[in-house]
Amino acid sequence: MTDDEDEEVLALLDDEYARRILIAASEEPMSVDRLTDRCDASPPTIYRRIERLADQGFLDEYQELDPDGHHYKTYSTRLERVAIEIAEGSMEMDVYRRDEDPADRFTRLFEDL
Amino acid sequence: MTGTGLATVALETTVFGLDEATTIFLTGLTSAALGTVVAWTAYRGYARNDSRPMLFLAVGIAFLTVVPFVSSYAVDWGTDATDATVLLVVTVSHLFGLLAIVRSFRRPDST
Repeated sequence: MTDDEDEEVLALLDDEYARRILIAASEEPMSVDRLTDRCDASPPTIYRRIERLADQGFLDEYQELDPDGHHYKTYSTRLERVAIEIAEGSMEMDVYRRDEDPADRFTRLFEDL
Repeated sequence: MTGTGLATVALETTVFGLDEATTIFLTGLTSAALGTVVAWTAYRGYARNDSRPMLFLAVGIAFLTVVPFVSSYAVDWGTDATDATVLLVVTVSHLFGLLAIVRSFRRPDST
């Protein structure tokens, strides 16, 4: 992991809304509407944080179809643990993500065809 | 061993001395088992992500792998049907499987 990525991970974890999203979406997949409710933030704020979190692979995205035929996405937390180790004059950071379910990966790959 | 055809000899020597029928059965069983895993994974993908294409894909894979194996032995052992009938059952199953996969290409947002 490069220093830039370390910085982004630390910046995300420092961000209160990013943390609220990660915590809320660790219970079950949630739509932006629900996250907006749960995190007490505006939709644009939530969208911005989701984009940054997804870039780091901290969130899984699911495509949902509501009865009217509209698509919307739900998100669940993939981030499991961040370990920071400082020793011998250097700092090392390890990020642990949950493995994606094979059925979800298969679906994502097939739908992206 | 004397009097058996060349193909039988080749099969017997390469597949641990099993006869043709057993080799075909075990190969088919392996295919059917793997097909079950793939079809089940596709079905779970449908259930978890509400993805209709994955449902058709699951059905397609089942009809291409599991159904031919099960139905061919069911027809072969359970009835006095000829080999041609067994082959027809397998071919029809393959056709259904491919139709389901073609159907799975259609996306919900395309008309």
